[in-house]
Amino acid sequence: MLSKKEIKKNIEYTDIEIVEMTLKDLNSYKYIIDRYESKLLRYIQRVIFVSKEDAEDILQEVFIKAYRNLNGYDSKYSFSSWIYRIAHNEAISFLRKKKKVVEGNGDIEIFERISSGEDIEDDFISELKRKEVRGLLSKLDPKYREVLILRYFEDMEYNEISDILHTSIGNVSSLINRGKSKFKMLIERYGKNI
Amino acid sequence: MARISKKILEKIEKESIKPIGKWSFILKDSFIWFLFVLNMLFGSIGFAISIYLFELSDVLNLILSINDLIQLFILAIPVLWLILTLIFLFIGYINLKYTSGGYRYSIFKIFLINILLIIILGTLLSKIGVSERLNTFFAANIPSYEQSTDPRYTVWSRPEDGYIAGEILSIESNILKLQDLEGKVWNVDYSDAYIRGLATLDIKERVKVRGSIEDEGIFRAKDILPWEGRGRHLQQKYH
Repeated sequence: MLSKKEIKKNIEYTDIEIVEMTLKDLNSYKYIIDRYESKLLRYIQRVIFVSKEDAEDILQEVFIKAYRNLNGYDSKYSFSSWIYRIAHNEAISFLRKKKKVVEGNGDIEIFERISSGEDIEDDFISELKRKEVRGLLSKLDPKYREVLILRYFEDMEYNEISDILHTSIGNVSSLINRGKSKFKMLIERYGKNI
Repeated sequence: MARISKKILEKIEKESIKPIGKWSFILKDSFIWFLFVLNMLFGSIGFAISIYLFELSDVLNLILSINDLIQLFILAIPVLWLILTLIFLFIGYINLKYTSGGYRYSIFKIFLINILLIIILGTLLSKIGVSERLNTFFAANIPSYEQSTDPRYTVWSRPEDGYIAGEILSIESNILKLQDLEGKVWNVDYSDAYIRGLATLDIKERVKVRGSIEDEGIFRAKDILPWEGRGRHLQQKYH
């Protein structure tokens, strides 16, 4: 648990300030970790559908890699995009190492957000739907799945997604549009209960 | 979810993990930019030599007097140098993508930037004579360089189509004895020929001759051009 002083420090400082502090004192790195661990864990699980244990292992590698490369962070770009980029690379590398094929694990939110554009807070999600969405998501090409997750779940702007995926903003835009169409097609073809 | 910061910080301390030095990233970035500049430079040199070799073929000089312009035009393209230019253009593109923030540009923009850089720099190198000097250097130092890269060897080795080139062995009242690029000796009748540019018709001089075959080993010349130099430009310069 963070002390009141630590929570205040975590809230007050910007990412860039914490990075600078970390380069002088390793202990400051915990503010970065605390700030991003939940977001990145969720992101990893959504993108590559691994178990929580595997996602946590990947996350640990993300933070260690980020710490090692902290001097390479360019403050012209957002720290968030930078660390998400590392998470993206680690997730892809994990899949490659394990030669794993993505299997759905039940993230209904993506369907709701993408297909209706409505807020998910009040949505009731049935187990049946959950299973179907799991299947649909695993059918979606990873390049579309990831860009949709970044846009609709991580609420990222196009330029941030461009920095994470290392592609042009124009390409991000077309991936989002194509991804949405493909997802809708999957719903029409396979969606029995959604 | 349990906080993992403690676990991570412990691991970093236990394994004595340290951030990689800033210089290492600066070096990596500089290296990528250096490679990009190098690729642009080689691409530009390729383009500059392409322009130079194309002009050497004198296709543009003969533009009004030839009727197989397209065929000649294609033959006059210095394919090898053009391929090299395209290769460097492609490597430059890959390079630019890996520079910091390079991915933000679209493929189209990156190609456009590369092509423009190569054209501007290449034209500049050509104008200041770098291409000519480099071509002379390569010709002197690389065996069979000229035969494989210089389009003059293709364009001006087609006696059936009316194009020959070679070294003057002797001159006798309107007849030149010319040894062509493949070693064959021709008697060239130049009584009605238009002698262009810097062609002085001296023994051992290399010239390009446009005309037609009259008989076995006999060629009637319509135009005689110097082997070296860019016909029209040099004519304007010296006459």
